[in-house]
Amino acid sequence: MTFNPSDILTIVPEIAVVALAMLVILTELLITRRETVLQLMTVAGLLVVMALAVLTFDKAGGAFNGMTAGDGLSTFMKALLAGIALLAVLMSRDYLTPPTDAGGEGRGVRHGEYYGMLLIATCGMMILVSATDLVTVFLGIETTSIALYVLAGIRSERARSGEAALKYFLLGAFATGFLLYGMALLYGATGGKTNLTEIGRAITDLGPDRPVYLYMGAGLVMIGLMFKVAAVPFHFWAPDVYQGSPTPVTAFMSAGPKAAALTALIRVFAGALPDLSAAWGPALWVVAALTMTLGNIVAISQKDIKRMLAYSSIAHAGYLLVGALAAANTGTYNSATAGIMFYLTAYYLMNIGAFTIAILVSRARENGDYQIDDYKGMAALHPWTSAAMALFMISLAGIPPTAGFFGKLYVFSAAVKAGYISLVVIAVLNSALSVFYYLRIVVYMYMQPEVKPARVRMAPAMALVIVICALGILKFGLLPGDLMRWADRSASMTVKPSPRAAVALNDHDQ
Amino acid sequence: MNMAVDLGWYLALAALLFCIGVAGVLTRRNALIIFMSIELMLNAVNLTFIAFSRSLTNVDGQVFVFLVMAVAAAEVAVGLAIIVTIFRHKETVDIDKVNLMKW
Repeated sequence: MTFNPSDILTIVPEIAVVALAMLVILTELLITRRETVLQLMTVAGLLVVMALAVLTFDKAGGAFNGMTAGDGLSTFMKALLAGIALLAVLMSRDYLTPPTDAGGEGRGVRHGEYYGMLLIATCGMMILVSATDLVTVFLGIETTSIALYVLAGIRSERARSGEAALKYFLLGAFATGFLLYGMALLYGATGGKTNLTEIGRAITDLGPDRPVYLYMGAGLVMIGLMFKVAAVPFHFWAPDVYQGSPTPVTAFMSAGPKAAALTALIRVFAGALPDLSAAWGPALWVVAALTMTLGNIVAISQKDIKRMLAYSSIAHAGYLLVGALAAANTGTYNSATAGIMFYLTAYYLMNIGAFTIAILVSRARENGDYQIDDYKGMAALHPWTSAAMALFMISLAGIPPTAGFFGKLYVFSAAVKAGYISLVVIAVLNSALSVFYYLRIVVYMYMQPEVKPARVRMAPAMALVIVICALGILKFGLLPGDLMRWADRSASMTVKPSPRAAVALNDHDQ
Repeated sequence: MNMAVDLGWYLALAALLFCIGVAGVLTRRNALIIFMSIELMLNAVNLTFIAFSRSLTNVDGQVFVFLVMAVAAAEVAVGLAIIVTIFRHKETVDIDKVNLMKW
């Protein structure tokens, strides 16, 4: 157990994010409270963090005595998480302080605190994606969650925001209890190991006579992680929390923590519990199938676009779990992980884009509602915004030539290679089902008479978010090669989780 | 290791505490009581860690307990603030009355 100074390099992005959070909060306190200055600072800082995440990548190895990994997977995810935070900050423009004619509501919210919390949540997710020890998994999840509880309730003058925060907090803390109890039992069952790889080895050494509480521990850890991913049957918090939270926070929550928790899920199951795959494999299979089916079926009947996108995000978590199952359970650790990275990038772009337009449309309404009916006839008045929204919906439905299509293609083909053919059939049927409610919005925009004319007022920052998301979706939809190569290379430089999975890496096709 | 009480008893006590906590979360309707039940669950976890740590003579479990305690304290700070916010809107902390959106 020695301290190696070069280990610091692997956590440079986390340090930079926390430093930025402090800087933004102090700037607001001591220098200026102007939204533009604080926002530009945060955006510039996050660009630096993104660059640092890519540049400080040096080795595919562990750091801090196996507590964290500075490998390809964590580098890719850190850059992605900084990108998610970046767009979430940009799309928050004017959200906390609506223009004076809207009554100047929300004056009490300080932008610096809001950006600071967003950055601290980002730091927690960065810890989580590089965690290779139960301690760092726990700290990453909690740093993320506590910051998100605050963010969900940051518009405390609105009853719904407070309600979302309360529900998220109580259920989140409840799930943390399960996760921790599972960790405690794993710690005991493996003879005092907390490192994921060492746990894997200890379980192999146990041989056939494993204590019952080893299985209980694995199951409880799985429940805790499923909760964070919002997988059925641990999804019930998600629609309420997504609907009640401030919309930029909802966009952030539906992309970031999901990505981070999935990464942790793969690391825990592939790294620590490969020997128990006979137990958790079928469980994860059922959860994935239920998650996508329930998410899609309930999304169809929604009238509120935030709630519809919440159920759609549950469905997407189901598709991602198909990939995670393939990544964690079988020899395609490599290509399935790369597929998940691609899918997460695509999902983040289309989801944040859709939420940004939802904010604009709701702002044009006097009551600030998020009804799907508000989209009727929008195309006549706002051709560009409608075209972008149509693109996001098509991509969410997984229709080519969009990034969403290739994301599904990579994840599902990796799952087929891993032998989950019936699960992929369910996933494809679900994608077909989801076309119904995504395209309903496109039909409303283009083929329905306008209900009431609404002027959408767009801040330059919001327009920038929409342009970035739309261009990204088209770029990765028409030319997916670059991103896929990067994802593939990152996945191949991932810390070998355990001897068994390392052997399995060899029969990967590339 | 010469322990007066067998490890199994500590684990059974922790499991019992954890189940009481879970039952409290599921049956109580007052947000503060639910919160206390969650704390009970976390302390059951701490007891499990300490019992294993002592019986395995491995300090990692005790370090974990310190981290759990620190995080639980942070959670209390945020959680109570959220409950106060709800009380300002509703004049109640009964979660059945916090239902603008369906659960």
